[in-house]
Amino acid sequence: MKRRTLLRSTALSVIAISTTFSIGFQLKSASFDIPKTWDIAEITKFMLPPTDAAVSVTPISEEYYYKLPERKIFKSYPILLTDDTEANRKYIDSLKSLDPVDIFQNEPKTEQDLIRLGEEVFSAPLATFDYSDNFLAELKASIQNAEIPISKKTFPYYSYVVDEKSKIKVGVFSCAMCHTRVMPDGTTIKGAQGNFPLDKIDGFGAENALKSLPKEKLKEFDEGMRAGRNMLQKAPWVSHSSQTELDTISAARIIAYLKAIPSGVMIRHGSNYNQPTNIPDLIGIKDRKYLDYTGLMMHRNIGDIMRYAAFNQLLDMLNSYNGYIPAATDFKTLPEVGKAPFLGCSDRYSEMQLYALGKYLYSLKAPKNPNSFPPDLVKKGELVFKREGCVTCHTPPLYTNNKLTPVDGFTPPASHYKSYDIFDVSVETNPELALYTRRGTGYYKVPSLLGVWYRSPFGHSGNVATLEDWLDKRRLDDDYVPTGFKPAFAKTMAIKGHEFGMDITKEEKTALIAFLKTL
Amino acid sequence: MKFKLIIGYIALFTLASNWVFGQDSWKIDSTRLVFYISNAGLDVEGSMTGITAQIKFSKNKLDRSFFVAEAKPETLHTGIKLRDKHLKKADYFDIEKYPTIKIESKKIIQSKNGFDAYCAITLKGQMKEIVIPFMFKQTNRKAEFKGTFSLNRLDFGLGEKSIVLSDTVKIDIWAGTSRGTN
Repeated sequence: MKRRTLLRSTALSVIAISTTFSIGFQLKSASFDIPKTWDIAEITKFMLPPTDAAVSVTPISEEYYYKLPERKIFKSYPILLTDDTEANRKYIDSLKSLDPVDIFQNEPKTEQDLIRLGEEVFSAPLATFDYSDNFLAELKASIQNAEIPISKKTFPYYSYVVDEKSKIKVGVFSCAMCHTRVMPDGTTIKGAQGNFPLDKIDGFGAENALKSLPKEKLKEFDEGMRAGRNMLQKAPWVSHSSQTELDTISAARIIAYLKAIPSGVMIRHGSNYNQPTNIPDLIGIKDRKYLDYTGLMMHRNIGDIMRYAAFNQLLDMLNSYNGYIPAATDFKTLPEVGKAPFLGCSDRYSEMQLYALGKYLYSLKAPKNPNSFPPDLVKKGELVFKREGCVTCHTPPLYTNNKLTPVDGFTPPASHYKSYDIFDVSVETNPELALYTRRGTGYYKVPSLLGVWYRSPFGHSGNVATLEDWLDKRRLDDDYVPTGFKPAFAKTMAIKGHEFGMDITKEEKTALIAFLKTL
Repeated sequence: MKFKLIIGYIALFTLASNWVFGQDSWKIDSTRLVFYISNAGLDVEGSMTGITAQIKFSKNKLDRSFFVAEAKPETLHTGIKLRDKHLKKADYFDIEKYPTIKIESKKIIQSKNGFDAYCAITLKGQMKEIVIPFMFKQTNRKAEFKGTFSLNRLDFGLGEKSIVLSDTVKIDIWAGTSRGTN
């Protein structure tokens, strides 16, 4: 009895000490000064406010955050895409024989240690499910149905995790799931604009579930799908149709919307269910001043990357938007610490894990550019780039001026000119993401053009598939058929705005695109 | 005697009127204002139209010559619609608050190649003194004025320091005139 009491009191002391330590100060590890992630004063400065000044956003308190249990990150292993069932069985058996490895069991000593561990955090899933013998067959069916780009040998968006001896789990919802790009030749680029079609897979999954559902369960299914979308996308203060439709939307309609979302874009939580967001390229993030397409969060130092990861790996679902809490069962009562009924909301990354993740993201480098164009063509393209004024916003060497452009329908308040970097003209693209969502700030950030050769689709909702399409004036017409994201139920749609580089000759366009593909 | 005095006043008044409204006044027939700025090593050309001016100029009466000209930045045109829109916003010309650019000469002197006008330019609420070298070419009742000068855009709050956009803007201004007043 004495021994149990002693153990419990020691454990409580450890928790108390570590909590105080984390709340009060930045973490001093043996070798690193790690910023404090959930520092409300810093968070207040780093978040841009919603477009509606009457709406205030209150994140969970420091006390709540640091009471959340820390995640343990276990070593994960690749999913081999093999048709050889025997080889796969042997591989799975070999994983089952492994002991779970807590990747942070030894404190990192060097910058390289941090980067290596950060890569593990990047690949660490937020959720897992048990591996079963038919997993690979089901995965291959999904790959075919949803046209998932895959590498030659592995499925790089998920991973196997061993967090318990002799048990294999499939890990999903890691950073890598959305930020890994598989190129046409089967090579993968970590941190690039990912091309895992998450929404489409969700759509097919829900459609299959709906097909096999007994009639008496349809209403419940409808309500469940609607509640899910409301959690993910509702901004109750917005009266735009994209928000009001959420009050009555049916499961069938949600499924249709999901199935229309192609690779390279996704319907983000806090965003619009029928207007996806381009998945950002994280390579070069160290030099970006704003994060998110709507510039929702500032990037002043590695602490902001840590904050961004903590929020966007779903703790922002516990934000209170004038009392509306997306991940709360009743949308208004903050769940008890550790009991939130939503993925990613009942635990948190450790400070070291987030710091390592930030270091890894900072270390990302673009792969060798395989494009080779005649130097004269590239030079001519560069001249067109300068002449057409592209350099003003896409300023070398970063090929972004790192500024925010207000969208049509938003006038920046005077105070914003002092607080943020504003390039004060709208390029007249569709403003809905920036105006009618929880992530809406009234701005879009100017994206960097570095690495466009490995990216697609283009535009903040990925409406066009190629640079050629982006510079094609026909996209401004109402009878245009978008080559990238085309909303469900739309046959044609004008892709307005950013009317640069359109009134040039065919030769100049070829040269301009060649130049861009060298960046 | 009184009669002669009145005649004398009338004569003086006529002379003065001639000076103010007469043969040394030039009315604007057409104007051209073109500006050049280096952006990423290439010259971007822009223009403004609708320049208005009052000009009184005689190369023999420089001490009594002057001009006042006004340009409207809302007319600016660089060939890229969205760039024009941006240049009119608060971080550049801020045309809602400052719809007019005004140049007023304070002194005109002969120079080696023509004339130098010492002027006050008021742009975006900032007044600065500048010298505008110009040429004057008269053919009977017609005359052309042609000047070139440069400004530092940062002196007037036109944008901010940039690694691609130069600080210096070169301005060419030309006016075709005929005798008379506007």
